[in-house]
Amino acid sequence: MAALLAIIAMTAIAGSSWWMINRQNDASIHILLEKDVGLQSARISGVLRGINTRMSGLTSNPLITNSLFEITDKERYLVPFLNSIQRVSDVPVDILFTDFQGYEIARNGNKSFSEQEFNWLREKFPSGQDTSRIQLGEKGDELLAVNFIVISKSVEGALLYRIKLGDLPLMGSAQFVHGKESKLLHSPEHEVAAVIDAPPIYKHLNFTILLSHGSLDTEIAWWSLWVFFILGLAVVVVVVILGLYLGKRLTKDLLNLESFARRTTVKGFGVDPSKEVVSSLEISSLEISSLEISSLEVSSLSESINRMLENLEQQHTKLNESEIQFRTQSQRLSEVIWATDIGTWEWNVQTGETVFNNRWAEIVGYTLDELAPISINTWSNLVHPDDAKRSGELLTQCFNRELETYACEARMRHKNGEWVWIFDRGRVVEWTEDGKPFRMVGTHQEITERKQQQDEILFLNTGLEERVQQRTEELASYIQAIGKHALISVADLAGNVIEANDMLYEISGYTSAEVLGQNHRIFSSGTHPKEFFAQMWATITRGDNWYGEICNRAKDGHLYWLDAAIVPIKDSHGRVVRFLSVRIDVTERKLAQDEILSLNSSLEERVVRRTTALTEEVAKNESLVGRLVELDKLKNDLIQNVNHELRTPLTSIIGYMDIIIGNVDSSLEPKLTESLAIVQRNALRLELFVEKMMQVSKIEFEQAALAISTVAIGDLLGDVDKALKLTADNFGVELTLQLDSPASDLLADGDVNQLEQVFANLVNNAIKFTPRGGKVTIVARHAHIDGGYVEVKVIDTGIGIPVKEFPNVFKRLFRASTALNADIPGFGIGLSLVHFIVQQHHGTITFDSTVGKGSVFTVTLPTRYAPPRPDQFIG
Amino acid sequence: MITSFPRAFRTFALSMIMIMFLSMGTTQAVEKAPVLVGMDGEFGLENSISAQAIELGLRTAIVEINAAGGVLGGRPIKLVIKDNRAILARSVSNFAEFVSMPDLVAVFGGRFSPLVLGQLPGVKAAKLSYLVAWAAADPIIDNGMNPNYVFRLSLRDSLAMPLLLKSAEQRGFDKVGLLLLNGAWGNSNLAAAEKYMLGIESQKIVGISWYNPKDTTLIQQYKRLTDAGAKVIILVANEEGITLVREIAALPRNQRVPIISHWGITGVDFFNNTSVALRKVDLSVVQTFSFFTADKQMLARFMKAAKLSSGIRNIKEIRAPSNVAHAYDLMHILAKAINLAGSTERSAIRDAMEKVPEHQGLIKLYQPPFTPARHEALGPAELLMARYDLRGILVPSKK
Repeated sequence: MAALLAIIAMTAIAGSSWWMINRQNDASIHILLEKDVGLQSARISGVLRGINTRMSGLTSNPLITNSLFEITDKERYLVPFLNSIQRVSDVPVDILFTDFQGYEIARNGNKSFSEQEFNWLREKFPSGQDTSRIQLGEKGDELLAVNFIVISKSVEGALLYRIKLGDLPLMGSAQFVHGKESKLLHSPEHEVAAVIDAPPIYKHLNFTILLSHGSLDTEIAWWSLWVFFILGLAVVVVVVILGLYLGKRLTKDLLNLESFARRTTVKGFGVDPSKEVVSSLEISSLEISSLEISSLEVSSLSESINRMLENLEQQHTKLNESEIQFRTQSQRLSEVIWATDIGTWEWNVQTGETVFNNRWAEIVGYTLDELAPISINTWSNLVHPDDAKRSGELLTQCFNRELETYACEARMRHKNGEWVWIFDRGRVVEWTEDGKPFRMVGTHQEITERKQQQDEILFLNTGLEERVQQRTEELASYIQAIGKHALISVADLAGNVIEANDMLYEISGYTSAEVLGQNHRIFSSGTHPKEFFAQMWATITRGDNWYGEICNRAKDGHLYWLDAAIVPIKDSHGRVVRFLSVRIDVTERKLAQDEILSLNSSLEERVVRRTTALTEEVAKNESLVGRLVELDKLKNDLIQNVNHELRTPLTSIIGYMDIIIGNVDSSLEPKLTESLAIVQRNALRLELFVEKMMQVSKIEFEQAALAISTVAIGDLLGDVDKALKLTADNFGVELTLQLDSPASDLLADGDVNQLEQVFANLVNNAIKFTPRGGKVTIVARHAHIDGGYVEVKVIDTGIGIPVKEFPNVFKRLFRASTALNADIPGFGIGLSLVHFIVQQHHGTITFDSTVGKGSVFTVTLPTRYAPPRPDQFIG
Repeated sequence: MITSFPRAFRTFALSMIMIMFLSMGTTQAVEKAPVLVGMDGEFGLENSISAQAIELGLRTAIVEINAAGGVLGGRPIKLVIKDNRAILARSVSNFAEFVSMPDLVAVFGGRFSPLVLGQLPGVKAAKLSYLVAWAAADPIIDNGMNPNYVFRLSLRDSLAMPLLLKSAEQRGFDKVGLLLLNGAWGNSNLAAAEKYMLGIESQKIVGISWYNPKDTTLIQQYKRLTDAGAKVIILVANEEGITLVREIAALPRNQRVPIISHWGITGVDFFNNTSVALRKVDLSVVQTFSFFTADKQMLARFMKAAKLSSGIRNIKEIRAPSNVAHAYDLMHILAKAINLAGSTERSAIRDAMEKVPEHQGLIKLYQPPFTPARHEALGPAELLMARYDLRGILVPSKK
């Protein structure tokens, strides 16, 4: 029977060992597969990201976008370009490039796209969102995706591409699942899956990689079954044989011992135990020795029994003594507990049974009966949740034997609703065999009052620290601020300087080495009487502050005044131990005061003198201003008068003269006709003069409001040239314009209308003063001086101006003698106007002239409207 | 038979009355129905002003034509506009829509030669006149169609390039660099330049650089040309001209060479995007027309209508002036052709375009505008060089 059981047991062991080995094998395979599938997933994710990056990059490729605009040469660049993309991320890909309606523009090879694929693409156009799908191709599943080409927020084309899933670099027996299939993954014991972290365009496809256990060599560990089975069988056979032999030997001796036992009476440890035991043991020894026991084992067993009986007796005696001792100690313990007023607890950690004493319940305002039924929950329910957590952590440390003693301050809810503080302390006193805590005992001591005192002290300390810190910082900032402006020093009771700031060294001219340790007297200027210092000393030594102005002498001998405050510093007993001096340099103020004092004496006299002078000056200016205003008014009136009184009748005169001359009868005397012509000519001349005067007035009036803009001087000169061409032709003068710099360099800031006046006047003058057959040339160039100038020269081969008249050339109404001699009409206004305008533009005008040869007028205008330069005259 | 006669007569009489009534109604409807003219332009292209310029020219002419009683005895002309965003497929699609519109007699194209070239197969198939007021590539007219449905009143690359090169030579630049757009337009210009340079010894093309559309920098190409000794750059560009001018302006003065440009830059908001930089760069651009030198009478007439069509009061407000004038003159010529054709029948209108005897336009007196052998209305005589003045107005360069 035993043999049979043994065989069954061994078979079970062998079977379970075999099962465990196979499970372990499975687990290893599972880990390997998970690792493999993870790597493959990461790899495929990378490939998909690479494909998406490349394809979306293509949507902004200039060759692609340009092909939406132009396909004339697509065979030359577009098709070769697309053909060069046969693989993306090392995966074969078919690419179709379409227009905004999904019509083909080009492909990357010969692979055509089906009508369904085109339709799918066209369906996606309205959304314009890059997307993808899985479709069944000839050789399995295919990925079809589209990246749209967006130009200025409008979808203008698409790149459709197709990849066989089988071409994605999966290894081993890994396989793709996607879409709903991936959610149907089953039998996790046999398959391992990893979801691919794909770019958003493929995300909805739920690509997953699946690896099957069958993919690895998972041969069942049959060998282990056989080995265990054979080993088990061998052990069983040996045990059975040994058992039979020993059994036979032991059975005989045991039967003898049993019969002996039946005969022998051990009377126990009764009223007179020592006697009885001795007698019984003697009998036993005799009996046993008389036993016919052939077995050595049984013999030694009987000796063991004798020793055991002996030990039992001794232990019984000790037990009695211990009981007495225990009772005494228990009494003492109760007294200690009573005397220390502490609550006790005893807790069976395994069952949760708990015993509290009365004091435990009293601390929280209850009786034990009120708390019944008592368990560890009684504690849990009363303790503050925050403290319960900390208590739990400490207990855990105790149970893990990290702490020997559990000690925790905790709040418990008193019956009256308030929290009472207790000091909870205990130890695990008994452990289970497997090392778990079994029993724990401890005490509760109420410490509410102590905690309140602690809190109060803590609160006071915290406030104090903060206040001290704040005050210290404030003081430090005050001292720092004061130190920037004041001389600060600390002296001992003898007046020797212990400490000083940089300001003191700076003002006094002494170094720290020269000052520290020296008496304050080194700064003495000798200007104050002895009583002054005696009074100061008396004040500060009795503990009062001293304020006053004091004159000190610097190291280099010069005097300086300080506004000083000396403050005695006292110790905790109120005794003066140091003197702090804070002084501000008021030398300048003192000097000013002195000056004021000295000035005050002569002030009155000077005030009277100055006031008289000012009054006279103001009166003079007032009359001048009044005169100017009056003159300005007169000028304006004059202009108005000119307008009304001269122009109006002039217009009539000229008009009537036209009529008269137009209707002159040929019979009229020729002299009269000539006179009429003279009248008409002079009337026209007068009209022109009035116009010019009006023009000057207008420009002077508008001078404050130049309309400055960048003027293209080249263009302006072109206009002038064009406008005066006819005049030049009439005068028989050749007019040419020569631009020596590119037009883009001939730019200057100015008022275009006024500048046109400048050049028109200069050129007009040049034409007028140049005899028939002569030349007038306008030359313009950019001059690289002072940040750039445009220089315009008007060169003529005219009558010229005498040197002695040079200074008057730009004066109003001046006319050169040469012009008067040649009887060339004019008013002497043009050049003064030109001069005025050029000045307004911060430019310069110069001229050179030789009588009989001609003149050159040069105007320079700054490229940027800038402050004026003095005019330069050459002559 | 006897009894049936009156019924037959009655039926005949009723039919005749019905036909007369219907035909009267139809005639009335024809008189009122507008004649449609299509325009396919790059309106939605950022920074572009070309389509808007063509539209201004067309609308101004249409205001005048309709005010004078329209065409075909009182039918107003109505402009139908479609935006191609400078995308060929959109342009093709727009053209197909135009083709399907009854009473649409012709389509005006936009600035881009590639887009116009892309329409040619469709034009040929639909037999619908295609009028070009801007795109300058030679093959647009030299397209092999017979009869040719494309008419151009604009510049032609083979005319523009010689002028650009000649302008450089006149200004003393003997070494020229070509900076060309990599595409049909650039190729067309290169061919024109090479043809012109045959037999020219006083001037030399020292380098050719290409750039791709929408390149964000052209300075390397520019430097390659100047390093090769170019004293002037002939530029064939659209909006990329803005980039180039900005980049040149940033160079030291001694590294800046003048730019003589084809007119693509005038199709974009060139001045407002370069105004500061442009002061530092010597840039002139080919044009066919300037309002500053226009016939006063014609100009006054145009301005009157432009004020009505677009609220324009001053010629300085007109951007891309040449092309506004092109569209304006071409629309007037089309109106004359419609009247000459006597119907909206498309082939008849095409034929009539070749038969308009003369037209006094804003640009010139066309005598005749087109002939069967010549579908270009402008010739070398109309070309001129212009510059942007400080207000951004294109003014003719001084000779």
